Parts: sequence; C-alpha cells; structure tokens
Amino acid sequence: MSTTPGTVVAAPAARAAGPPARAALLRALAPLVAVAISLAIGAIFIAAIGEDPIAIYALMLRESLGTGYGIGQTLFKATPLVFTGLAVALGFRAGLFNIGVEGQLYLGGFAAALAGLALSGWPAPLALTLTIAAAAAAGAAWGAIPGVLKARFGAHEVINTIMLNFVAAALVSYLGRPHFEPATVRTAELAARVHLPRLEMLLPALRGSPANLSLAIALATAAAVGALLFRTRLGYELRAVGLNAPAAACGGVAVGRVQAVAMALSGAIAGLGGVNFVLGYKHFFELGFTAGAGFLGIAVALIGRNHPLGVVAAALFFGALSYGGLVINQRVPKELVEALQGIVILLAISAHDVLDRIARRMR
Amino acid sequence: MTLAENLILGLQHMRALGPGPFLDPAKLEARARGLLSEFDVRPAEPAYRAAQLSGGNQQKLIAARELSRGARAVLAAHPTRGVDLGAIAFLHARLLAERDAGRGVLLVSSELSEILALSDRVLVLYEGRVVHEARPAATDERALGLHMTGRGAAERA
Repeated sequence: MSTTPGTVVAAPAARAAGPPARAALLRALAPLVAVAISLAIGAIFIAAIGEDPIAIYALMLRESLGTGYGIGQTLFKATPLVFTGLAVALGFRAGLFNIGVEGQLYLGGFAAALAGLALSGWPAPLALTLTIAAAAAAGAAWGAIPGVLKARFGAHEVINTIMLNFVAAALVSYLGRPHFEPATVRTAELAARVHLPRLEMLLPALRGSPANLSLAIALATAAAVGALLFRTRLGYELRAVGLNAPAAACGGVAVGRVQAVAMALSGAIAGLGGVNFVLGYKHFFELGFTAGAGFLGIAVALIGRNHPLGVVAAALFFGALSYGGLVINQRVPKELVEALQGIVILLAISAHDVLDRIARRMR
Repeated sequence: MTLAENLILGLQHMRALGPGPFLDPAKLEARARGLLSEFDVRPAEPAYRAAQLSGGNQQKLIAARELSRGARAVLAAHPTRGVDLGAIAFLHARLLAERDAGRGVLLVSSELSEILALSDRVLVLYEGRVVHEARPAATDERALGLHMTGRGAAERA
C-alpha cells in the first residue's frame, strides 16, 4: 500500500476539479427553473378562469416572438428594462440597493425633452448627442444625491432612493408645467433632428413596431457595464466594496467615494433609459411615461444575476411577457401578467438559494 | 471574486496590472499562478473562488496576498490558525524571511510555542498595557502565561 504524500494531497484536488463547474452551472440555471415553475403556476391561474393555458401561452409566444412586428414590440418593451436592469445591477454589485431607478429614469426622460426642445436649432448630430447626454446627466445627478448622502453620512440609500422617486415626480410636474401643451400633461413635439430612428428603417421585418435605436444604445451600455465591472480598476473596487466593504477598505479602496460614484453611474444608466420613450417613440415627454419600468428593473437585475448578459436576457423575457400580456388581454385579465412577473421574481430569489444549497452539498 | 482577483486587493492601482484604467485579466492570472504555486495554495487554480478552498489554503492565500504587497511592516494575527503542519512550517519560514529582509513583523498569536520559536522580542499585554518584555531565550511558556494573567510581577516578588 503506497500512501505517498503526493497521492494523499492529489486526491482532494482532483475531486475539487469537477463539482465547482457543475455547481456553477446549477446556479446559472436558477433563473430558468424559476421561469419554468412560474409559467406552470400561471397555467393553473389560467385554467382556473376557464381558459386553456397552452393555447394562451402559445398565443403569447406567437404574438410576441412569432412575427416581425411582435419581435419589434418585444424589443421596444425590453429596451427601457435593459437600462433600468443594468442600473439596479450596477448598484447591487457595489452593495447598494438603488430603488430610485424609477425617479432617475423619469428625470432622464424629462431632461431629454427639455434639452431636445432647447437645442432644436443646433446641428443634428450635436443636438442629438447633447440631448442623450442630458438624459444621462439628469439621472446621474439624481443618483448621486443618495450616493453622496450614503458616503458622507451613512444615510441608507434604500430610504433615500425611495423618497427621491416622489421628489422626482413632484419636481417634474412643477418644472414641466410651463413646457406642457395647453390642457395636456405633455411637452410639444421635438424636432426631427433629435429623434432616434426606428429600427424598421434598417430591418424592414420589424415594420410598424416602435423599436428604435435606443436598443443599440442599451446594448452598448450593457457592454460598457460589463467592461467596467470586470476589466477596470474602478469596477474591481466597486465589486470589492459590494462583496466586503471592510476588506476593501483594508485594500486601500475609498469605500465612500466608490459608493457615490456607483450611485451616480447607476443613475446615469437609468436616466439614459428615458430616451427610448422620449426620443425614440413619442418624441415628447409625458407625465408618468415610465409606467413602473424603473421598479421592474429590480426584477430584471435579480433574474439576470446582476450580470450584463443576464440583464439583457431577463429584459427580453420581461419585454416578451409584457407585450404578450397585452395580446392576451381580451381572454385573460391583464393582472395575470403582473401576477406572473411577481411569481417569477419570488421564485428567482428562492430558486437561487435552493440550488445554491444543492450546489454546496455536491462539493 | 476569483483567486486571481482576490490576490490583487490593495494592488488594484498598480501600473503593471494593466494599461490606464484597465486591469488585464491575463496579467492577473499570470501573477496568481506564480503566487499560488509559491505559497503552495491548493488547488492552484486562479479561476477558483476563495470560498472553495479549505481553511488552511485560505490562510495561505491571504499570506500570499499580504506578503506580496511589498509592505515595510507586517502584522500577522494568528497566521497559522487552522493550518496543517506542513503549511505552518512554511508560513513560519516566510515570516522569518520577512524579518531577514529588513521588514518589521508584529506577530500576534495564541500559540506561545509559535511566539517563542519566531520572535526576537516578546511583549505581553495585560488589560491593554505592556506588562512584560523578554527575549525568547530568557523566558518560557509558563512565565509568559503568568504575565498574561497579570500575576507575573507578584509571582517574581
């Protein structure tokens, strides 16, 4: 019997090589498992109101992904969710829960409209660039407030971001009034030079759908967030703060500064989301245009595991669910889709923990 | 974070790790491979996470990270707790090498044998104050233990 030191230590190393890969795969599957179970529970609801679940789901799938127009609608609905999901995910990575994405998105759209109106006489590329930048800047400013309050005074960002949503809504109502068309709650139409072109101009298959170039900005933003998080010194410090702030501080990270920067960046991404509606779709700002896209961003980030690729996938899923929900509106109540969203979120959180425990046991 | 990322904490602004604001994953990995094998961390896989390592290997990982930073002084608190015998000998040799390289090492440990084996000077704290100082050759575990209870002076008198 040969028990050389070599074999003794080699054994655990060899055993360790397999499971982490399998465990990682299991963890990555959590969102898919959650979605599958949610659809099953949704099917029970549909059956309970006397409709055929399979027919309803088939209709949703066909209408949201089966036609060029449907795909365009899904992409359009997914676009703001990519932005808001990325905004929430970036905050989470730094250990910050930005619930203020709704307000940052709202202010971003408002700033884009004001800038678009003010710059209507400027050369087109410059006017469009500055209008988009205004959306990001407004969101950044609104995100920086709770960020600085957290960094300076330790004020909890959850409370402050929730509160600032209300302040943003009131502020926009107040500041917007002089710019609104008579007897409406919307601004005048923006000049064509600050419109973002629709994707149907490039892809005729999407004809009639409001999907627009904002989607390209959204995907570019996702790539930029990925590069920031995983390829830069700032992203490294941001993740270090999120994982273990005291350890990061020991490693020379200025924790407060990183938190403030993360919140400002998160707000900037959220604000950028406003261009989808204002520059790409309606070409004016309207009170309440966000319609909860900011809050849904929290779900998108959770399902997307705070990874840019996951966020894009989750946004597409919620976009399809959202448009599919409109399609089946006549046969099942629209609350069904809202309930489905809620169940997906609940299960995504719990499925992650359950699969995590299984993954641990595998080791 | 991966072991490669974990190993650069505190060095994230070092020029050699990437151009401008960027960190180069290949450089992080190369650095990690060197340190993991030098400090005998098993498995020596830069893509692993620290949570996947055993306690002793986590200790060696931290030693690798902190001793590779080029600090002028090292504060080692219970550096060998939970570490197997072979690794203890290795860590002891590394700490002595730090001393020999002219760096100050402050070792805090509940293992008196470790303190006696490694130290040039031993200080005993009791209720927040230094109550005793000795050369390892001139003291033993029993004497140190008495001082740790605050009764060392009374015993001698």
